[in-house]
Amino acid sequence: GEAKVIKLRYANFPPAPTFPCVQMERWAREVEKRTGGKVKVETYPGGTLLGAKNMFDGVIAGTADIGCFCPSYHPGRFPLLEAVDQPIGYPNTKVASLTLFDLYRKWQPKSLKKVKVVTMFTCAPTHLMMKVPLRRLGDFKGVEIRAAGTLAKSLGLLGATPVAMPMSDVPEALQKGVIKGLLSSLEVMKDFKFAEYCRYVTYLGFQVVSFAVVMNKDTWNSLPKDVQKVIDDLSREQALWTGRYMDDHVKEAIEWSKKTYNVEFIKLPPEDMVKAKKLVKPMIDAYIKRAKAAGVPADKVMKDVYSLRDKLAAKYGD
Amino acid sequence: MMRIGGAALVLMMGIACGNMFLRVLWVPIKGSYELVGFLGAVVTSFALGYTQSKRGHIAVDIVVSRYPKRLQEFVESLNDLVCGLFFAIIAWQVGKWATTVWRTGEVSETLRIPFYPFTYGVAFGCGVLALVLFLQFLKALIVPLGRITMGPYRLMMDSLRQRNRRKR
Amino acid sequence: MEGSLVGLLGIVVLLAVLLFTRMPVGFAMALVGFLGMGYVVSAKAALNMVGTDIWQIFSSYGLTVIPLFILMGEITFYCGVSERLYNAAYKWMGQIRGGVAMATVMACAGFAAICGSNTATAATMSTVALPEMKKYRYNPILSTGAVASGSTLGVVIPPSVVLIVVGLYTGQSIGKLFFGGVIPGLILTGLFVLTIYILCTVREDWGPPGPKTTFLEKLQALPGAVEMVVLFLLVMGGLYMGWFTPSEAGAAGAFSAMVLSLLRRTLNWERFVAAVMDTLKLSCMIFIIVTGAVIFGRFLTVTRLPYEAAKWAASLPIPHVVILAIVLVIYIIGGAVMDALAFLLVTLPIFYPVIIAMGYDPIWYGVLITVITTMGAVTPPVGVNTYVVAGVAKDVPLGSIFKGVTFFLPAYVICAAIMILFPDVVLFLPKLLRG
Ligand code: NA
Ligand code: NA
Repeated sequence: GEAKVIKLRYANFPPAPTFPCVQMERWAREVEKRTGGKVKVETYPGGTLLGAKNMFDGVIAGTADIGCFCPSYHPGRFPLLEAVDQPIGYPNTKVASLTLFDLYRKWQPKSLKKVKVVTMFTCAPTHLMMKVPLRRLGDFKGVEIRAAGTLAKSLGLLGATPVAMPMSDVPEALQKGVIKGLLSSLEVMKDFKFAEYCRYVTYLGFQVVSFAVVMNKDTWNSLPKDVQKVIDDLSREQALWTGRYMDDHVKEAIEWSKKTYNVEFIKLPPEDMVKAKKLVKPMIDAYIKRAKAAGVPADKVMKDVYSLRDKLAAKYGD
Repeated sequence: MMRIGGAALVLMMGIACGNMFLRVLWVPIKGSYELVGFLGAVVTSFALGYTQSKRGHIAVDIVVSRYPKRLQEFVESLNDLVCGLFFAIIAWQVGKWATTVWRTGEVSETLRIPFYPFTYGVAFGCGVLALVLFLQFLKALIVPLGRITMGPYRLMMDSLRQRNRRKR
Repeated sequence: MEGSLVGLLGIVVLLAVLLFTRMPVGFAMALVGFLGMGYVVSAKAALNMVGTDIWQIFSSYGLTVIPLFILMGEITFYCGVSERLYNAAYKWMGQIRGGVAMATVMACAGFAAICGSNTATAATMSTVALPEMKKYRYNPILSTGAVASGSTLGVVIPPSVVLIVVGLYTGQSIGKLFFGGVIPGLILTGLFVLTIYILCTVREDWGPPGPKTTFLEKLQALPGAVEMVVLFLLVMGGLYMGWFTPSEAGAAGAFSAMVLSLLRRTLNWERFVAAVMDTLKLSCMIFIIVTGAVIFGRFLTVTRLPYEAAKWAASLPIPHVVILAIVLVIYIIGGAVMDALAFLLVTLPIFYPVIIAMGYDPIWYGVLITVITTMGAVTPPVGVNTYVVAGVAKDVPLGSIFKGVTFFLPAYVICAAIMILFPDVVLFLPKLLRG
C-alpha cells in the first residue's frame, strides 16, 4: 500500500516576507522534493503558532516539530553560540553563516542537547542606516540609534547612544526623530522602506545575529532513516544557500536605495576602522569572561571563530 | 497584594514618564522598555485574584439568566471549580517556565538582569486566582449543603421553641 | 479528524460554553484553546503553551498601554476633570431640545480623545451624565442609549485600545491607525447628535430643553474644559511630535492628570487609591480576554482553519466588494455574540491576509472593522458597554437600555457606508503623517 505522508509543523516568528521565512519555504520545498513527497512541511510564519521567545521551548514541548529561533533573544542561555555574535567583522553572510554552522558542528553545545539542529544561519553583517551622515568615528558621539541586544553593546562602546525599541515602532521613531538611525542588516532599506528616511549608510559590518532551526527530538527519532539523511545532507547546504540568498538580497537593496532615494554609502577612514575595532574589544573580553563562568572554554571557542572565519573567507569572501 | 500591584503600576508610570523626559532632555534610561514590561506583568497578575473576587470578568449571561435560580447557582459553582482547576494548572506551568528561565541562566536583553522573579510573581498571581475560584466554589457549595445538613437541626429547634411557647 | 473540522468544532464548543455556562469570556477562550491544543497536538504542548503565553503576554511592553491609559481615565474621573468638561458642554448646549444628550455624546467624544477604552469611557460617562439627564427629566431610554453608544467612541477616536491591538497584530503603524480613526469618530459623533435631534423632535417629552444660560455663564464654564484640552494636546501632540511611544503617552497622560488634579486640589489619597484599584481591575479583565484570545487563536492556527478559510474566501469567484461585505457581516454577527476586542483578536489572523491580498488599504480596513465591531459593544447578547451603563443606572431596566441603543445603530451603518464609499475619510490624515 501507499506509505503515509509525514506532516511536519515548521514555525517561524518574523513576518512571511522576511529572509528567515524565505529560507523556511525553500527548505520545505527541498525536503518535499528530495523525499519524493514522503514528507509534507506545513509552515507557520509570523509567530502565529509560536512567538520569538516561545519558539525553542515550544519545539521541545512539541507544539511545532520544527522552529526557527534567535539564540540572542535568550541572553545567557546559549553561551557558546554567542561567540559568533561578537563584533569581530564578517565579509559577508555566507562566511558568517558557515562560521556559525561549523562552530556548532565542532563544539556540539550542551544547551542544544534537547533538540535536533536542522540548520543555522545568520543575518547579513550589520551597518548603520542614518538620517544624518556619520563620516568619522567622532560623529558617533551621543547619536541615538536603534539597536537590539548585543548590537546595542558595541554601539555604546563606539560612543553612540543605543535605543532599544520594538521594530514596529522604528519607522515612526525615525520619521519623528526619536532616533537618528538604526543598526541592522541592509535588506530592511528596501523591505521595510527605511531608505525613505535614511539617506546615509555608514559601513560597519562588525556583527551578525544568529538564527538556529531546531527539531523536536522525538519527531526526529520517529523519522525513517532515508528522511533523516535528506535532512542531514541539507543542513550545511541550507546554511550556505541562506547566506547566498541574503548577500544577493542585500546587494539588490543597496542598488535600489541608490537608484530610488540616492542614498549615500559611506566608508569610515581606515584609521577610524582600526580605532573602532579597538573600542569594541572590551565587549569580546567580557564575553569570554562571562562564557567561562558558564563553563564554556571561551578563549578556545573564540579562537575557532576567528580561524573559521578566515578559512571560510578565503573560499567564500567576495 | 493589591498594594504591590498598585505600587508596580505607579512605578511603571514613573519609569515610562522618566524615560520620556530623559530622552527628550538627555539620554534614555537603559532598559526602560523591559522594566515597564516586567512591572506590567506584576500589575496584571497581582490583580487577577482581586478582579475575580469582585466578579470583574465579562461573561455572557443572556441564556443563563433564564435558567431557574438553582440551576444558575449550580452552573456558576461548576464554572468556579473548572476555572479554579485550570488556573491551578496555569500557575504550575508558569512556575515551571520560571524555573526553566532560572536554571538555564537566561537574563533580560538590555540590562542583562535575571528576570525569573517576575515570572514566579506571575505564577503566584495565577495561583491566588485559582485559590479565589476554589473559595468561591466552596462558598457556593456550603449554602445548599448547609440547607441539607442544617435541616434536622432546624426541625429540632423549631419543635423545642414550640414546646417552650406552650409551657408559657 | 480533519484539522479544519476540529477548528470549526472548537468554535462551536466555545460558543456553547460562552452561552450556556456564563463562564467569563477570557477563561472560556483560554480553556477551549488549551483543550483543543491538547487534542490536536499533545497535552505537553498545551501545558507548555499556557505557561509561556501567559508570561509573554503579561510582560509584553506593547500591552502596557492598556493599564496606563486606563489609569489616566480613572484619575480624570475620580478627580472630576471629566465632570467639569461635561458641565461646560452643558452650559453651551443645555437649552436646545435634547441638548443635554447631545452634550453627553460630545463629552463622550472629548473623553474618548484621552481614554482608549470603551468600558472605561462608558463607566466614566454614565456616572457623570446619567444623574444630570435625570435632573432635567430626560427619558432614560434616550439618556442610557446616548451614553452607551456615545462611549463606543472611546475606541474609534484615538487613543484606542482596539486600534492598538489591531496595530500590534497586523504590524501596521499604531500612529497611522490612530490618525485614521479621527474623522470617522467625528462623523459618528455627528450622526449620534443627529439621531438625538430626530428622536427629540419625534418624541418631544424625551429631551425637554434646559434653562437658558447667559453668554457670561457660558464663558465662565469654559475653564472647566481647559484641563481636558490640555491633556488632549499633550497626549496627541506628544505622539505626533515623537516625544513618546504610545505606552509613554498613557503614562504621561496619567501623570499630567495627577499633576492637574493636585494643582486643583481635587486629588486626595482615597481617590488616588480608588483610581488605581479600578485600573487594576479593568486592565486585568482586558488582559485575561487578550490572553484567552491568543490561546484560542493558537489552537485555531494549529488546526489550519484560518489558512483554509482565508484560502477559501480569497478564491471565491465573486467580486472583492462582495467578499468584503461578507467579512463585514461576519464582524457584525461576531460583535453581537462576542466581546468586540476578543472577536477582533480571533478573526484578525483569518481575514486580515485575505482583505490585504485583495488590495484594500490595511489602515482603512483596521479602522473600518473597529467601527463595525464597536457597534457590537452595545448590541445584545454581549454588549459590554450596555452592561456597564446598566450597572450604573440601576433603576433603568436592561430592556429599556437595549431599546435606547437600537435607535443609534443606524448611525454605525451609515458611518461604515461613508467609509467604504469615501476611503479618504480614513486615509486623509494618515497620509499627512506619511508625508
Ligand atoms: Na479613545
Ligand atoms: Na454585542
